[in-house]
Amino acid sequence: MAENGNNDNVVTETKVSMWKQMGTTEDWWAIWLAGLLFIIAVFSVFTWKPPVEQMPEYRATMNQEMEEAGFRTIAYTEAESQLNSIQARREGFTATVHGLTDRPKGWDTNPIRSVYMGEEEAAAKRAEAAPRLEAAEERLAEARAQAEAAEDAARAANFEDPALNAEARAAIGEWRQARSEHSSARSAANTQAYNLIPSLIVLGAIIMVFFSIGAKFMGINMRQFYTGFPIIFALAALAYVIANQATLSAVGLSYVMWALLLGLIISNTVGVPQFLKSAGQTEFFIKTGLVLLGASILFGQIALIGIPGIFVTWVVTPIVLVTTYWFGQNIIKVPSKELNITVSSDMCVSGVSAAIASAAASRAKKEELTLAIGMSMIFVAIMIFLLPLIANVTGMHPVWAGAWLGGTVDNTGSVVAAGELIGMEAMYVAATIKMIQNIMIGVIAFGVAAYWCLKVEPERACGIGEEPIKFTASGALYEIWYRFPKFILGFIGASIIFSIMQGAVTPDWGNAMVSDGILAWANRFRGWFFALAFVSIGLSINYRELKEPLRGGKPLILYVCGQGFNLLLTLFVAWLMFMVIFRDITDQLMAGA
Amino acid sequence: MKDNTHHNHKQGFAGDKTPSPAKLPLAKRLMRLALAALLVTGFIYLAPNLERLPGGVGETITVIRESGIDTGAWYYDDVEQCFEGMDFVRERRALDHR
Repeated sequence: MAENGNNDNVVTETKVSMWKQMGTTEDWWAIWLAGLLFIIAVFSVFTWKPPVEQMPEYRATMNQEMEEAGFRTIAYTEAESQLNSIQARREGFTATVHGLTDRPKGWDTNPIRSVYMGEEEAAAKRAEAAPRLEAAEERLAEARAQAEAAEDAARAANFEDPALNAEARAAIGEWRQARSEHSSARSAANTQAYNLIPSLIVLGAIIMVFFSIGAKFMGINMRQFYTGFPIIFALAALAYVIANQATLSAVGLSYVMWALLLGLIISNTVGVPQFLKSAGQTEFFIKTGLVLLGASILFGQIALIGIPGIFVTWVVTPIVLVTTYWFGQNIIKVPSKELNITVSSDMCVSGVSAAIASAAASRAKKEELTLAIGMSMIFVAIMIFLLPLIANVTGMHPVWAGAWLGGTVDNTGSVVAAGELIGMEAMYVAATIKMIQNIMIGVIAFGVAAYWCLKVEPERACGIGEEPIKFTASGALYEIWYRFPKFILGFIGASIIFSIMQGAVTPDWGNAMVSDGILAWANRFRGWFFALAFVSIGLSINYRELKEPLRGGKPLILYVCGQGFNLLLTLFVAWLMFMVIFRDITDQLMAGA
Repeated sequence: MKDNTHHNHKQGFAGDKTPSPAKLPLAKRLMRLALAALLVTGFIYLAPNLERLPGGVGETITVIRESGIDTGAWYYDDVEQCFEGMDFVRERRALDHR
């Protein structure tokens, strides 16, 4: 990173060697630390390996049953269950770390339940659940007997009798539902006492030491860092506790918002002492979290729902993003380009995750990121209710409705909740569309960073008296490399590496070892890093500084207009793709409904 | 991200030149903190009453709560239903599992 010096009120830049950057800048330390986490995770997963050698047998059973019957039989279901239980995160050291990074639990009326439940209360819950378990076991046995009888009848007819097949399918569906209810009842009847406080303390210490490695080389005051970090971690844990209140969780008020709010409260009441500012390394936490996030961007999943899914996500979304940005710059005239791109990304890509990536790539102010996320959460809460209502009242086809929700509602959890209010197919299609859209974040972040480097802030490459760089071959590529935010490369690199890894193995192996192993580990740490980042953001903002970006209500107008355009365009394209051009895919998705 | 707050806090002023919290007496700052904490605590305590909102809103919140979906989750790998959705799509489209 360049160092600034003043010489007769003219700012000059002295370039720092790439080697020095690699050892002293937060961009590079975000990559090194995330890389260290990945290496440890890979080592752990391969050392304490789950029984993946059994997976082909289960898969073969499932394929055979599906080929014979054309629907999920009892044997299929049991093999599927065994297959899904093979997860690297349940084995050895991987399981230990996975448990250690556990977040505070959900609670209804008593917040203490999020971190502690004594043996007495656990015993009371077990006793309370015992009758429910007994009833569930009876129901399960009955449903199984009926499913077996129906399946035997269908099998006797070689699965060629549609009426017998339909009966078997229905009976097995009931049995699967009974299994699910039995599993839930069994969990309740096996309620164990827990105390997360010691593990949270250990986790906080581990994360503090983890970041202190980079902080030391970056020249941060370590005494102040060690003094302030426990407070920031405690606030992050508190944000999780609040967010896990059952009703607040249902409304979509995530830990990100509470982390911001807690930081803002302290910053705007008692004030923030210097040691807390030193510990609140926002960019460092966010960039490390983003590199971890990159690993979950798996390009192989883009084609999951076929061309219509790609159109709704990878064609509509960039159109809306560019149009909204242009609208904000030229029509509404939002004064800050960074605020514009952050709000636009947040609104049309995938909410908080896209906002973070765009804000970091464009070097937006913290208040701008805060504003974008705050607006998004308010509108998401409205859309969770409004869009399913429109879909249900107008009788929209579930697949069309699901694609519409997935392409427009900002956060993934909210998409799933909204889809749930329509039906199973809508929920699953919505979730898949949103997941494919999440994959765009890597491309968006790279594009924003490159655009800012070349077009928005090209004068940063200037020495005194020089012209801004033009995009010519000679020297320009070096300048772009020099100026480009390096953590984005770590973000993209993680995505490419894990996409290749996922594509090189069978989906089952990939799920067991990568998704439910390495990435599950990275996911947990990522959540904590972002919680720390948003507490730090809150601590650094005076509420009066939020007034400036809000001036004239332009961000709000931008969001509303952009989201309105997004809703209409996605509605039309989803209809065109799923209901007209690729109706066969829609029919496939609805088969068995 | 840019941080334009540090300079202002050093001076003790917010963006509009009014005194920052750090310049107020400790008692007043602590009172503000206590008030903010009380407001947040009150909101959390009253949150379950959102399920009593009319017009179907309350019922919708109850349905979502009982479904166990983490509505606030903002990335797909934090939401179990996304993986179920992937399996659903693969199965319905009979995509090769090898």
